[in-house]
Amino acid sequence: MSNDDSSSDTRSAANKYMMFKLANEEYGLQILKVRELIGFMDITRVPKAPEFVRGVINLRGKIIPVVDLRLKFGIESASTGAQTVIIVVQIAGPHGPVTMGILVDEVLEVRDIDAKDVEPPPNFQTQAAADFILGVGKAEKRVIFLLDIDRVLSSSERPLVADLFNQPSV
Amino acid sequence: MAPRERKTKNSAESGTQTSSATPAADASPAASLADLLRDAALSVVMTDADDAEQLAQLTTSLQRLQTALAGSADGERMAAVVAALSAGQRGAEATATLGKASALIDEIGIRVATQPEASEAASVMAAPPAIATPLAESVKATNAGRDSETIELIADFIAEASEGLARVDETLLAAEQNGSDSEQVNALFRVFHTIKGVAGFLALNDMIRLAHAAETLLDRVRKGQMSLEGAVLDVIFESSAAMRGLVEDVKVAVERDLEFAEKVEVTRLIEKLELVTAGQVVARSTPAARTSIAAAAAAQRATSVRPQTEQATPSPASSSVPPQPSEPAPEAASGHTQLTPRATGAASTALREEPKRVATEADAPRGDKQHPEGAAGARIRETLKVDVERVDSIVEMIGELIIVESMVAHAPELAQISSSKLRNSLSQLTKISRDLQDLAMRMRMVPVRGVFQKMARLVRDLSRKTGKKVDFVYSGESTEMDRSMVERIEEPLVHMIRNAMDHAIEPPTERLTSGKPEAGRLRLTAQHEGGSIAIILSDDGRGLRRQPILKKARQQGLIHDDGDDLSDAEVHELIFLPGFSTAREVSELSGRGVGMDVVRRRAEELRGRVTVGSKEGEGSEFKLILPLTLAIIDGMIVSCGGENYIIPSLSIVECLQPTAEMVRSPAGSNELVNVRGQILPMLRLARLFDVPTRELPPEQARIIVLESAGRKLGLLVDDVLTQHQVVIKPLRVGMGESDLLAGAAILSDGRVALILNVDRLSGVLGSKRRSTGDSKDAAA
Repeated sequence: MSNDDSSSDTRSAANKYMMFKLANEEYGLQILKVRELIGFMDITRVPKAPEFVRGVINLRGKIIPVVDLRLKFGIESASTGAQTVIIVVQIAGPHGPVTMGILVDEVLEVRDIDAKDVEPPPNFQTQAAADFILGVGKAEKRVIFLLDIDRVLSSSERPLVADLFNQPSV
Repeated sequence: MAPRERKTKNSAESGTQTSSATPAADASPAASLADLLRDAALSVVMTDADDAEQLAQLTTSLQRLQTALAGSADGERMAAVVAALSAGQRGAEATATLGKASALIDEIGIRVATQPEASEAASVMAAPPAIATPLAESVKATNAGRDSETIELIADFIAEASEGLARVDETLLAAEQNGSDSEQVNALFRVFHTIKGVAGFLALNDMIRLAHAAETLLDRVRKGQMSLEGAVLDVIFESSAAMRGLVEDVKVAVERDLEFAEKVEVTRLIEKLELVTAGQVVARSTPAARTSIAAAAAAQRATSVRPQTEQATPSPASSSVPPQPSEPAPEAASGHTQLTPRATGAASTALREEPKRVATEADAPRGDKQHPEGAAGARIRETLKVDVERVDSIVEMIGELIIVESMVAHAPELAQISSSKLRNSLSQLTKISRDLQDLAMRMRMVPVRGVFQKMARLVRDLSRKTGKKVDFVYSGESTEMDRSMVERIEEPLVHMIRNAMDHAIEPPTERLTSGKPEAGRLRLTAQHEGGSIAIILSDDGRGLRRQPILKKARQQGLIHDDGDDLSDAEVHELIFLPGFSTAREVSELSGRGVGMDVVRRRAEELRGRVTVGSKEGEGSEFKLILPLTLAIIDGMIVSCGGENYIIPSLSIVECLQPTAEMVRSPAGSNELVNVRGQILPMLRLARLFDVPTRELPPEQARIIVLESAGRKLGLLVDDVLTQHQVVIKPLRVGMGESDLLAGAAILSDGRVALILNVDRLSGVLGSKRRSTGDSKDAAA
């Protein structure tokens, strides 16, 4: 897929994805959902919250929750490093838009992925898993899982990726 | 009307100022006191209780404040704080003193902040009448001699009545088209009833009479004796229009400082209302005629607003007059606009013009009482309705500004720059931000007056119903609270007052036999207490009676023995327990306690609490202690395993450092702590919140004694850090947050700390037994 400037102008923002890394896989997140990126900061733990909620942070006076995508996906939590980033996203909540942060290992780049390069999600084991993968994008030789972040974050159940990759649940 | 205790202060300053401009900021002593206060408040917050140098600096700053306050009660209290600090307090002791200082400064600050306004408004009073000249605006003349509080009351009333009357018209139109239901009739009734009530306070006789007549008619409709149609509908329409004219007149009268005039056509309308009420059919006016009535009312309004209006057509004051051309209405409109916002100026200009008007019946009596020259009344303060959400977001953003400001001002990088210019700018920035915050907070504040007045009405009604004589006195009604709180204190107050009327105040004969004055005394007070507001209801009735309460508690299974070892205070606490009594049972018992659990619950919902003090035979005092606003709380910041939590100060009874032997853990029970002989259940914050930490032995930790849902308990934390005012932010719902958290707040370093929901803590202990039972059993 070509990625030159002349054609990117004509592409709609809907085709732009923010790439990020989590464990060994690459994921894509619709750029329209992304509000900003912030470096790792002190997170206040919220007692009794689900494990994947790392806590809350102060985003310029607003208190927003931060979800550790690793924990959400059932991957073992990693220690935070210089690359660790909080992606602030706005998702559709039951009572209007909700701002929250997602903690990822590393943000890679923003990239256009044409609809023609997106394959429907493979047959996952469970419906829940299929629900939050929009599709599998291919860019160069990389395989990118495109996330439906609204669904990822609005489901408050147990870690999802355990289902997705049919790994034993933690 | 209940006697009002609070006299307007500062009447000595009257006659000095009229415009609503605020007094020059730095010139007045009050302003410099405000500066001192702000400085002191800031240094209190910034002082580390363990740092001798900082404490010394603070002491100096407080001494300055003390000097400024010399001679007043505040000054003495400040002197006590200064003395305590000078004595070389450190650590926890000093922290407590700092807390006291902070509360005191807040209290004085609030008083200072509200005072200039009072004096400004009071300036309307008592100045000698002056000849109207362009300069005369700087001197207020008064004929009617209304004080600032009355004017404020009237302004509120005008707003309320206008809104109500608009609803009346809407309802009437709907009723005319689609027929009426009881809901609508009730709504109509309520509007007139409310107007009558408030007009009663203000002695607006025309309005009272008119509202009363309309109310009587509507009452018959309500009872189904008449229906809302035909002549009834017409005459109510007419009353609403006339009432609106009267409201407008009141406004004019206040602005020009005239006596309220009586109107002839009101009397006529009242007669008509009475006729209709009596069931006599009055010739039904056509809709056109009704329009003319409205126009007439409007025209009349115009006349009263602009006496010089060239009004050739005498206002048709009754429906018998045929419809007039539409001339008066536009005039009315123009007259209206002219008066509304900058009323005083326009009105006085108008008055200087030669009055050339055709005297109509309507304004003839008014004309007699007018002072065409030099009449300059009070300005009715214009208010603006703003979406609460907007106000909230302003308040929120200012909160953010304050945090960022304090982060910038205290940045270590900046501290290294030794530029006095920078320092000045920074302190300027700090000052402006704080002012902005004060202003923002006050946007949501309204006086409790409205609620107090409703209570006065309630007492009057109940007094009539129960046949008990009561002197109801209220004071502190200008005390301001967050708007949403004012609305929500009404219910608990109603419960408290009903209780007092039903059970505490004795019937006249019983009072006389026990040597008390025939009329009971019921007193409602609002006042600032530290950073909180206390609303106190006291009576001189029977008081809480120990034996009946104990008997009742036994019957309800709330206590298991005769309760002889319970202290009076513990017995009094019983009445707040849910299930202590229902209304019926308590009246048999002639004790008290109807709905007191509701009172406690409501108080706790508002992050406040309720206490009672009572002496059998002499009376009781109930005290609702509430935070100033719902958005901000005074919080104690505690640490636990490196995490910080905020505990609302209102729930804290005391903090103490335990010794090892104070903490007990009997088998099969919660841990207990022995606080000077009182055995309380104890929770460890670390365990409660699964804090990943090594537990400190109790003697190295702190215990905070809390009151949670009427129950005392000890909470073990690692350390108590400081006390702070914090802005409460909700934790986002849906992330599975625990109900043990009431929200979150941003600390001055920008980090988030969670606020403990103290009321839920007692739930953790299990609710098998109540506090008194617990401590007693444990002690036994």
